[in-house]
Amino acid sequence: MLGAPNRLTIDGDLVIDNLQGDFATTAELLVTHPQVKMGTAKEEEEESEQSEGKEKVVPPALRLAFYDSVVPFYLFGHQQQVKKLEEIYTQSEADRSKRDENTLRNYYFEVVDPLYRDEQRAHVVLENKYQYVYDQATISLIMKEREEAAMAHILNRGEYDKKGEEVPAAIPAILGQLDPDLPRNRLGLARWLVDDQNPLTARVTVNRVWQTLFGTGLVATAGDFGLMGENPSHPELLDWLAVDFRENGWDLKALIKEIVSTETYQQDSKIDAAEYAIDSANRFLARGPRYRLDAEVIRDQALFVSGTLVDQRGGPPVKPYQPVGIWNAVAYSGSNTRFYRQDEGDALYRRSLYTFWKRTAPPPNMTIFDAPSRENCTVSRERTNTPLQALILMNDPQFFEAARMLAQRSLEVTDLSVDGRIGAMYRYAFGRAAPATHGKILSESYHKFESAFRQNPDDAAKLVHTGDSTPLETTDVVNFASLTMVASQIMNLDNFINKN
Amino acid sequence: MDPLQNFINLETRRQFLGNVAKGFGWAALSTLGAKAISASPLFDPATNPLGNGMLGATHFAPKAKRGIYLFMSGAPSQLDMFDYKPAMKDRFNADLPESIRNGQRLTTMTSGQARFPIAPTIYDFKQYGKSGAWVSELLPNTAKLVDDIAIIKSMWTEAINHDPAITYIQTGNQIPGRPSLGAWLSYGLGSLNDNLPTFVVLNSSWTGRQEAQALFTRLWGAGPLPSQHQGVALRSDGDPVLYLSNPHGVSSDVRRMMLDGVNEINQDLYHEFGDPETHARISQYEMAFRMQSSVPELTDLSDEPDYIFDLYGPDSRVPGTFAYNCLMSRRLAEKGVRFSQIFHRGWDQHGALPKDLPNQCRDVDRACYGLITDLKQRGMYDDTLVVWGGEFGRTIYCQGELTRANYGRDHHPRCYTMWMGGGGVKPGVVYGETDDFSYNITRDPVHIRDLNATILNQFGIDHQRLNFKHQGLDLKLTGVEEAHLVKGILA
Repeated sequence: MLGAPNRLTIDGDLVIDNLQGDFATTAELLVTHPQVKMGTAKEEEEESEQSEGKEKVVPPALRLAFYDSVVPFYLFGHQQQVKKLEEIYTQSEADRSKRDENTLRNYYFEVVDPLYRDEQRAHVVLENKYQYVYDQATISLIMKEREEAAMAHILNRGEYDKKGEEVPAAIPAILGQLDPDLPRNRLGLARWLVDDQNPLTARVTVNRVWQTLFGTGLVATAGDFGLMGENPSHPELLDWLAVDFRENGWDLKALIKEIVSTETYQQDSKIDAAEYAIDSANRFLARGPRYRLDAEVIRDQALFVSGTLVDQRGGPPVKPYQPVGIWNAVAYSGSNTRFYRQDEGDALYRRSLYTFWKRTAPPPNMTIFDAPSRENCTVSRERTNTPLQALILMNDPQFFEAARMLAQRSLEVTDLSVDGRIGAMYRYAFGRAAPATHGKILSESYHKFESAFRQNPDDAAKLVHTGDSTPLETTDVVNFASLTMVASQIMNLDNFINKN
Repeated sequence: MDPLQNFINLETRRQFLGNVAKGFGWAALSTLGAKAISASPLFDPATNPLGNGMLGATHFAPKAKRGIYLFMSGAPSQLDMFDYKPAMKDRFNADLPESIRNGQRLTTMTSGQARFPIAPTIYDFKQYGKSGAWVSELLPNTAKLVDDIAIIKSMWTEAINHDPAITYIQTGNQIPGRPSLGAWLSYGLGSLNDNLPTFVVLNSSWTGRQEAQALFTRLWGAGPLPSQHQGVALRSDGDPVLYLSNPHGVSSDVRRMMLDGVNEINQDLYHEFGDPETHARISQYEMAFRMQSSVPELTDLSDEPDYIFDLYGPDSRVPGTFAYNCLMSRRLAEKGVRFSQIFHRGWDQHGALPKDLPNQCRDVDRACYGLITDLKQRGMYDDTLVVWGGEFGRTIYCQGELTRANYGRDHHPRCYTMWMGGGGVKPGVVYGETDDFSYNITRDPVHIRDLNATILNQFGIDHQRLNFKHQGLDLKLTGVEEAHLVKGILA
């Protein structure tokens, strides 16, 4: 009744005559059937070139779309199935199993009933449209409450297969009881978190903002307000800020503005020996904050100062400069992130927030500056001071190219002397004029670089080609290279990577 | 210490260096003069055994000053290498008795199998040395070491899959994010040198099964410890240490000029702000500069004579192989790198074990022998701890189809074999015993926690007293459960 068995021909010789579930092939796919006009399924092939490319990895991915069919695809070529349908049909209704009943019903709707077929076609069109819209969109996962109450168990000695007592959703007993009127789900938790009677959320938040701005929180243990945590250095201030924050509608921007407008925040960060004797950690805030900036801020700042930062918001992550072999050294052999394929153009100069993060091998110019591994929640970062950090700031193409772009920026200002250009670079970096001593040292350095490059002009030409961007065309590449080195000096200064 | 005095002391080099305790080494500030930049001599461990670690002094006299950890990622088959079970020969394809399995958890890769047929090893075992340890024919060179090492046949762990298991043995917890063993050693003991990292990681190529489990930088990570304690990967492609090379066109002379200017301004900033971190930064830049020459010297093997390459086997001339990395580890140990860890992947023989395991063994066998022999001939073996092993063992029963010539083995955490040597480990010991099926431990179990406690012990550290406060807890490598020293293998 349904004609000859259909065949699925792949690459000329491989024949699949039984399509069930997903299957994968890298070959071009041709679907043929004597009764149905020929349809092709578009192969969904990911780009396979690899920049580190020793091995060519073609991810086998294919979705078979077969929307033109009048008859469901699975019925083709299965004489047994046709026979089976006839058997079911001739059976009395009482004898049919539920499964057979379904088979028959499906057959009726999909093959016999004209109305259903029309609806089905319309549905396929809509489904396609939906898929199109869906494929264009950025996917963000959100959670939905289940119908039944979520339940956890105490796991005896932490073994996942040794379930003990049930633990229903609640807040930790030490923090009191959840209002019986609140639902036992995330909504209830959210309401409890921001309840006027709950001082903790606002205090913790305010303290973390304080930590961000001053380097240390009013409670130094920002991740621990419990028994093991430290007492606040200024309890009344913490409370006042917390209440103010809450009453301002939890407005973080207003909170930050409030703190940075204070005289305390705006103090000089110079350390006075006598003050240091009393308070080396500056818990009493007799001076302004001074601490090394976070990894992301250091990179963003270098890009900003050099004028190369691409301030585009949102979108998928980007893959800026990264040394070869970082991913490959640890990756699962079949992983689609086995090889790092560096992006080009604007993607190299986006804020660090957008840098692609592979958890098994995160970007080294972030982790070396204490960016956490993102494997568990980190409320306070360590601030280390290591030679590897020095190597990044001096040699990472991201930073050295930024230095060259800063030099380029100064060269684009006409009518400046060398010292004028050095002064301009300093101003771009620090927003103020260079102190005379620093200006003099940088100027002397410039002349040393210049005489070195005069002897090796090839070095100068190589140097200005660091990075993917095209260097400024100049008749005096020695000058350009020497200014680049001075720019690199500026971007390696202690006060460049510190908040002062 | 009196804070004022402390501040004044910052002006003096030694005190400053003693207090800052940051960075993986300290630089002598006297080398800041533009000319005096040659690598300063290594700190003499005899006069200054404990660089800048947080412990200040070890809890007791250390037996090991350095460690080299040979990590076999994927879980080597104890049954085909060390744990000889002759009784299995007659039970080919017999079912694993239920009394042996005793309801123990299996992985989902074999829990659905209808049978658990016994797959005896196809490799010959012989006894070697005075200790009479049994070693399979796959390890002819390791066999020559049995009187120099302690073989532990009774290792065990709770984790049954690679990721949690390797995270567990490396960091003391199956949940990611804790500091690794090497990071703890760096944190506790500090550096033995002033121009190389304290904890170095070397990833190796392998010739067995190519579909190897991934590794993760967290396996040598610092967790919440300051990041200078994380393992520094010494790489065989690109820069040996990340970002080590100057950009093209920047010569060493130009780098020196650049640093001189930076240092001069930073000195000025130090006088202006008085921030000790500025002082530390100057020394870190100097150390970075020294690394730019010391690391390439280290990784340039051209000064090694042929007989040394012969000792480690021909692979030792090929960058990135396990043998090459073993030779590199010895060089690192000589230069005062406290702890190096070599990762070798590809040990996950679920199927086709007879095809892949011999290759894996060939990768490491000669090199292990070379390493220990080389350490011995240099008089370094006594105070260098060498550890060999993986994250768990493999099952006696076959995964997949069993034939006389081919079989595979699933993960088995209930017992497996590791070995240790040097650094105060009693040589010629075979410790612990398993049942006839190498399924359960019958004597002297050694949990991976016990192993880690013992490793710390050899470095002079009481595992209970090396802590770091994090998320309200005193983290330690051995976690909250009891850990016992494996006294039976200690000299």
